[in-house]
Amino acid sequence: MRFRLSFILPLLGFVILLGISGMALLATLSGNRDVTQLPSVLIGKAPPRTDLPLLSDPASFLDFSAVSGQVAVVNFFASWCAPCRAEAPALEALSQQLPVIGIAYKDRPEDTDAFLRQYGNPFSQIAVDFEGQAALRWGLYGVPETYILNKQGKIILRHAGPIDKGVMDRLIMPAIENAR
Amino acid sequence: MRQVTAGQIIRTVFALLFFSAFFFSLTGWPAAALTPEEKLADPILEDRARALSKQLRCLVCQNQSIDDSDADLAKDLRREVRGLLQTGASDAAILERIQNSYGDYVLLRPPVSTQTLLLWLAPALILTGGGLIIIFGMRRPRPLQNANQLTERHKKKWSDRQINQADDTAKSQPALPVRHAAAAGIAITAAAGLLYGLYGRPDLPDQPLYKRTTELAQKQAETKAETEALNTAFDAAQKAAAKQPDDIASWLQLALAAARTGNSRVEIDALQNALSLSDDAADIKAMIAEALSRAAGGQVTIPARELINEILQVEPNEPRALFLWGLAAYQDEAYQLAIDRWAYLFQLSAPNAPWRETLEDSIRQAADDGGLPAPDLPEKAKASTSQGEADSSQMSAAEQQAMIEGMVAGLAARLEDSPDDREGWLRLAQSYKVLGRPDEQISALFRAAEMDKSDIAVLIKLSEVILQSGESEQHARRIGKLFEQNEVRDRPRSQAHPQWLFFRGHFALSENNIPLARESWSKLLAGLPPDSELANLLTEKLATLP
Repeated sequence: MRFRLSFILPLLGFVILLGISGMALLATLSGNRDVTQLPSVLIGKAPPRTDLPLLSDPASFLDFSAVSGQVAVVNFFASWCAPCRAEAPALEALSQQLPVIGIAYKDRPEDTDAFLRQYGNPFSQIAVDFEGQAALRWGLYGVPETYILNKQGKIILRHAGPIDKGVMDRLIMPAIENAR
Repeated sequence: MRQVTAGQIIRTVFALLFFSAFFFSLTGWPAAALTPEEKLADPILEDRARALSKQLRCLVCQNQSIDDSDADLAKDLRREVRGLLQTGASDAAILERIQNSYGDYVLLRPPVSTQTLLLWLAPALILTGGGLIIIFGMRRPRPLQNANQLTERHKKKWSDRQINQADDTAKSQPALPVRHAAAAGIAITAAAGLLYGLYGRPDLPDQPLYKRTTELAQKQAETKAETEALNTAFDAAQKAAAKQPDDIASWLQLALAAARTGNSRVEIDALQNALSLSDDAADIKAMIAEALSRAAGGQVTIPARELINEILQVEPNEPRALFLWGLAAYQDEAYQLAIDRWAYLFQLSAPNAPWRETLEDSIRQAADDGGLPAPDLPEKAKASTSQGEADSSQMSAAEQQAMIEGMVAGLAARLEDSPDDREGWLRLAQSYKVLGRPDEQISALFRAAEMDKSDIAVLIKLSEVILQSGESEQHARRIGKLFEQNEVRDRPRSQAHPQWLFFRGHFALSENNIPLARESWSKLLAGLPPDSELANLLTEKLATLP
């Protein structure tokens, strides 16, 4: 009985570790936690400063006040990005019910134009982030990336990667319904 | 011979592995992904940039710092860090700004907070826990062994011990002090490590804590005072501009104050206002191009490039635009082109122009990066700057003329070798204009116009020069053909362009293309106020058409 503590201490440590990893495993298996997605720190905040020229008129700037009071989608895309082509129909469908703002990331305007001609233009405004500097303020990892703004203009959801059917049903639509 | 057991081999291998890992961690991998053109010219800022880059995680590779990573995102972040450093931001402010976008995760050294407390305490906890286990393990007496299991050796040892016990009292007892010493050692090491982790500043020199604290506080106060002063100036400028919206100077003041506080949107807006008041002044336009580039972290963006082209067509020697024009080529890695453009600006600049030194550095940098010979910049001009005011005499008109002629001859020779350089032809045309040689100017303009038949601006320019130089029939017919083939990309704008319509009508006649002349002038007439002088003239002209 004299070595009880030296036996109990490691056992206790082991049990705690087991508990933590068990919880993480359960959360992953139940689908509530996607290990590939890191949470965005912008959730609950207004969009960061995005002083970007518009594709249609380089002398004017992107303006989020045009969508204030509405639930809106902000989508970073590029003509050189294959998953962006894949999610074009999803964005088209979203644009039927709410404004979708596009930000062309590191893309030459003429290439963006060609991309929009080929895959359709679901965007109410398109801004050009040619150098990818504004994207840094959004905490962008890569394209495509999609954000949803609520009626108060706050970011309520960030999804990195293309919008496929699963993402649409599981994340995007519930967030939009909630915000309405 | 002692036998080597498997256990000993394994222990030796582990020990070797441990030490090699230790030494590798000391040497560190030297590879840095930084490319030379990213580097800042100021070595102090560059050092700070490197130090900051080592503290930031590359988010797409996740286990490298942005200093080590070749990923695009890492490159962008490096550029952001350097851009912010150049605006005078403090290290802490830069880290905070990036942390605001990417979260704690971007910091390779996470901040101490309730969420990360366990992470920070883990080494100390593990060390203490391990120490406790060892200490308790030492206190535990050896398990009693059955007497009949004792081997001869043990028996001998046992009896030796009993015999020597009297001498060994001191030796057999020290278990307790050793345990205490070990526990104290572990605790002190852990506590020291933790304290250093929390408060250590490897970036600052050794000095008493109070000195360091006062120094830091002083620096912070200075930065704060500076920022406040800039902000006050900015507010004042904003009010002044609001009060006198018709005053160009107040808008320019506001633009300057906005630039100093890093507020590029206000800066650009203010410059736009100044521009609209100034009747399209080329220098203000160039400031806008510069502001647009600064807002993009020093990259000459596409809108900025369009602006620069507009400026240079009207005002080919606008220095700021010329500098950005060279920078654009440099950033496209067209180093020869960058050198040509900057050298052109250099030759235009007065010997005491403030940007000369920067320009020389830029040219040298471009030559270095492109592995090209640096051009011979006129030594004479440099000498006069170093001698200062005493010899402020600029080059004589004859010298200047000779220099330009030399430059033009060089450019013309280069264009003969690579005639596809449309911008080169345009510049050559401009140089001929300066030299007062309209015939050469016209033929250079023709080269450029025939290369891109959709460029309205070149056609208009060419028309003007041809009319001014007395309109030879050969020229008129050649440009008439060009107008016929003028494939216009940008229809709405060109149709609204009165000069283009006028010249198209005019030169269509020299090609005997009556329908085109009629179409052009009728369109032009439709856009003119009915009783203006030009409208009357056009109506007359239209009436005389067959």
